[in-house]
Amino acid sequence: MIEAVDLTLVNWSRAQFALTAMYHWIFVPLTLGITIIIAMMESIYVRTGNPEWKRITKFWMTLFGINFAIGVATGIILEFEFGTNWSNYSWFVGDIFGAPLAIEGIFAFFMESTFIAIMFFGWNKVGKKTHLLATWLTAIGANLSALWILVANAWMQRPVGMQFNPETARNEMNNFWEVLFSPVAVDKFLHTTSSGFVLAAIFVIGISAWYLLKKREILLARKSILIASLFGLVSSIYLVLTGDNSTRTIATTQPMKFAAIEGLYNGTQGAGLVAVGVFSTSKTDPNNENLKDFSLKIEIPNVLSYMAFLDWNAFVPGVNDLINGNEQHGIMSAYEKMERGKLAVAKLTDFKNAQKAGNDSLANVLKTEIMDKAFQDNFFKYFGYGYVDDPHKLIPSIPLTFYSFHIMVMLGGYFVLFFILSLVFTLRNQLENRRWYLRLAIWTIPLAYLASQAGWIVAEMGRQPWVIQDLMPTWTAVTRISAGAVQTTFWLFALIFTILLAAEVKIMLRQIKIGPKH
Amino acid sequence: MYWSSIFWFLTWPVLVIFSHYLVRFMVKKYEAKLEKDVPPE
Repeated sequence: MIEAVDLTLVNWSRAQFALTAMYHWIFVPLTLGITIIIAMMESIYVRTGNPEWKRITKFWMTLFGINFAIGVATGIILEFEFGTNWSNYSWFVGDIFGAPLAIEGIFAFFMESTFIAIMFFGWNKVGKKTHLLATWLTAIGANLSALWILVANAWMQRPVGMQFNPETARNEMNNFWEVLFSPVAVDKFLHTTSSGFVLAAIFVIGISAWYLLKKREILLARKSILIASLFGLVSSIYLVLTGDNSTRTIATTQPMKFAAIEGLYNGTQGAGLVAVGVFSTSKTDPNNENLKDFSLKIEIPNVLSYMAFLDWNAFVPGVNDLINGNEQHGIMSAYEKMERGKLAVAKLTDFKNAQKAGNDSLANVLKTEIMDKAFQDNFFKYFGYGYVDDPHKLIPSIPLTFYSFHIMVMLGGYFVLFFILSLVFTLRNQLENRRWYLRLAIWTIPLAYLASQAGWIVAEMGRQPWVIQDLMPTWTAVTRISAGAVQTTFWLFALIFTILLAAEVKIMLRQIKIGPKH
Repeated sequence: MYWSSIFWFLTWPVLVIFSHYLVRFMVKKYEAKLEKDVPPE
């Protein structure tokens, strides 16, 4: 059974996981996108036979290799943390969550690793076409690897395709396809991988811009910018479309996250989209730290309703509607959900007690009641609320979610314009004359990383307090070890990851200064 | 029930393939122009 634990431990465990995930996500998006850019460059080399393209391909491949080697280390630690820091979570849903992680390990990771070896060491050992195939398979393998991790994450945001087993107190997968093709999983895969494409394109443009500023490797830089601008422009438009679809999915599956994204406290019909907003420090509810007014707000009328439900006048629930309920719009209050959750938890406890006491007939009756569809739909669905003692704990950090979302969206819009600009200057062969643009391109690299991290903050902070939406609050998922131990490993990881990042940046900068081999 | 998700999912390979052919086409068209006026390093 799951019981509440010390909040210091929960907070340190969350901090440690967030630290690992954020460091890991520094390395991953570049891998997702740059492998595809490299494959495109090599395709041109194989088609034209022009050795200049081989040189360009090998240069970007070297930078990818540095990034990949260091990124793997953080990813492995992340997977271990499910067992070391989140063992209650792993027990409760390991039968479902473990499957995509295992597929990722066996299928995508092995595929990616195998073909990477051919890609790096097979230039003079296999034929041109075989080598090109290995490069493409590395790119596809890297993205397939991301698919399974994102399917697992999406399942936590919207648990589907499973059945609760009272005997083991675990959820078990009963429909693999529902897990794989959940709208949240598909949205997450499309949006996340395309954000990696955009980041990689910006990376290639930024580094190439540095060469142009230094008047070095002019041909490599021009050709790389042409490819990256095209790929980046198509990917950034796709990123906007998938982001829009993802927002609509969130509005229906995670309404509290959606309200937090827009800082919407009181639901309204024809809700406006806050294009720019600054929170004031005054609180509308003195009992709640999270509820704050805007001191500045530029709102576009009705757009939020349309974005969420494709209806200009649709009702969009706010934080207060989700906590207090709204009968008119059929929204159940958090208090009611907590009552139902407590009933579900009590029923499961009674079942376990009857089992322990050897009262098989009572245990069978209780098991039948728990497995009953009506009970599952009306009570067990709110199981996690049974561990919530204060409904205000159901509200994520609204300022953090709001600002992260708006930073991500604004930067996303900027990236589309940036790629258009890059393409125009490239096609007119004016890149070297636009030194301001070249400097801008270099400074856009950190902005791409900022947008990428902000996206994950929205996804993960916005769904708090749930580790599994509605079924498991974060504080019940944690492993009961000493908070001191987690604190120690947090600082240890922080140190190691920072050293790894510094090493990556140093090696990469050195390699860029050296430039491609002639 | 999965059809709209599967349809969305299939846009991913379309994105990659479309980008690939667009890049090929544009490189073929503009490569010569990019190779003009390269200053000595």
